[in-house]
This record gives sequence, C-alpha cells and structure tokens, in this order.
Amino acid sequence: MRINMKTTGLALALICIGIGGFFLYLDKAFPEVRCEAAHLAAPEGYEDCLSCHVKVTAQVTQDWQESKHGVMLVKCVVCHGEPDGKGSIPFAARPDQNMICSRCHDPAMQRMTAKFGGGMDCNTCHPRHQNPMHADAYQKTAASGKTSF
Amino acid sequence: MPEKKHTYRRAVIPAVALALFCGVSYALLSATSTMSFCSSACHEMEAQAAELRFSSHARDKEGGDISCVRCHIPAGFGPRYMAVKTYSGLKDLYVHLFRSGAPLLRADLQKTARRFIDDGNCLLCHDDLYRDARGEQTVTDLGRIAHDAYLGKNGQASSRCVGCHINIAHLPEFDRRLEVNGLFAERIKNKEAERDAD
Repeated sequence: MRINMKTTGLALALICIGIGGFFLYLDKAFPEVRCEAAHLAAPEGYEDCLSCHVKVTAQVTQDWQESKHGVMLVKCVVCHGEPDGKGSIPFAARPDQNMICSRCHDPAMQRMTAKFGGGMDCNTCHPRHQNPMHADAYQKTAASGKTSF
Repeated sequence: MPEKKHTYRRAVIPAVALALFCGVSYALLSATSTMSFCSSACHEMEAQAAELRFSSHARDKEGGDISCVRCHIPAGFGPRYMAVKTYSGLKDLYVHLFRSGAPLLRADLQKTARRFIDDGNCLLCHDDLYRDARGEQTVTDLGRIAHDAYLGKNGQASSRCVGCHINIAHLPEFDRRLEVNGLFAERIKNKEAERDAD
C-alpha cells in the first residue's frame, strides 16, 4: 500500500495538536499552584499570622513549629514579610533565597556554592518548614558544622 | 440499486460505530469508576480505602457510602470529567504495569490527588458553606471568614476547597501527628490496635 505523505503528515499533526491541547486544557482547568495568598486584600489587622494559619494551613504551621526555625522562634515575618508591605522584607509566599536565606545563612550558602556550585534551590535539600527536630519526618540532616572544603 | 446501497452504508456504518464506541466507552468508564476497582482490583489503593472508612467522608448526608470517584473525578460527563478520567486512568495504568514494584510515595500522591479534586464535587454536598453538609451546625468564625474569602465576599482566595481542607478522607502516617487530625488518627489507631489484638 502506498503511503500518502500528505495524509500521514496531517494525521500526525492532528495527533500532536490533540495531545498538546489535552495537556494545555488540563493545565488550565486544574492548575498545580493555587494558593498565592491573594486573600489578604485588606492587609491591615493581620498581625497575628499563627492564629489563622494554625487552622487554615495546619500542616505548614505545625511543620514550622517543630522545625529548627520554629524552635528558635524565627517568626513568619522574618522570611515572608508582612502583608501590608511594611518593613524591609517583601511579602511573599515563596521568598527569594538569595535575599532571605542569605540574611542569616550567608556563610553556609557560600560554602555550599563553593562545594557544589551555585544555582541550586536551598529548599530542595533543606525543606524550610519540614525540618523538624523531633518528629520522624526528619528528611535531610543539616550540616554538622564540620563541613570541609 | 448500487447507489442506494452505498448511501445506506455511508450513513449506517458510522452511526453504528459511534453508538458502539459510546456504549463501550460508557461501560469501561463505569467499570473503572467503582470502589472495588480502585481498591482491590489492582490493590494499589487498599490503604486509602481502609482510611476512608474511618474518616468524616465515609458516608454522605443520606447515609450512602462515598466512593473514590465522588471526590477524585469531576462530576458529570463534561470535558473536566473526561480530562481527569483520561489522565488519571493512563497514569494509573502506567504505574500499575511498569512501576508496580516501586513504593507509592504518599507525599507525592497527595499533590496530584489534590490538584484534581474538583470544587464542584465538594459543593454537591456542601451547598451551604456556612453550615455542615447536613445543615445542622454552623461553621466556626474562622471558617466563616475563610469561606467569605472563597466566595469573594471578603477579599479573594485562589485556593480551592482542598487548598485548606487536607486529610479529610485519607490520613497517611506522616500527617497523623497534626493536631487537627487528632480524632481521625485516633479512630485509625484504635482500629489497628483492635486488628493486632485479634
């Protein structure tokens, strides 16, 4: 049977468009990231993050409380800023590591960059909220303090 | 008359093929949407099905069992239903055939599962967001504020139902320590203790 190049090409193009369209629709209709804290339309009066977030984002809050950041009382605003935009830390659900983590962890970050190269996301190895001191969810050990070059 | 026969063929054969396709599709879609198919036919979702029985979503307000698809696949036969059903079906088939030996990482499963839980499914039972599904008790003050934001009455929230309501039907080991899941965790623990004693 003679293969008609034009028809085959058209069929392949239609299949590609179909598959592409399917995933495009899936991405549009069911976005992966949903919460961008857009609920803070009136930011004044939201000083106490924990009182709401202990209920509405219970997992993140408890992970923080059990983490080193929680035990040392590094409060939400230290990394996430304040919803009214005041202060030097910009209000963000996902803080910029070069600006936020480096404020305290700059020496360690420089060591990591020297050892492994730059461009890595701190959160991949050190989940910011999920680094508890006591729970069994301890995922990655932190540096022992004896890191050699 | 050859011409008439030709017309007849051109009209009837596609119609029969379409009807057959629809019938077979409907039968397959229904057969792969049962509770037993998800939990026991392929064994992957046994733990999830077991946990569901102790959750607040084991039964609906009429007292009927809530099956997997009531939450995990959008209701109706629209494009949302077809998209999720196709995607989840192909994903499950791939995992079952080629990744059956690998452990299912529930933290990863949660992300995918939550992405495809359609608000429409929740709202079918929870039509009044200021009361529980049976319409008996009102929600807490915090719940009222959060639902005001969801409905756009007080600010706006892009987080859908499962953005806040997590662990409402399943409770993996690592989420049992969370205070909000205390009652659910206790029910599972009691059942596990009972089973161990037998």
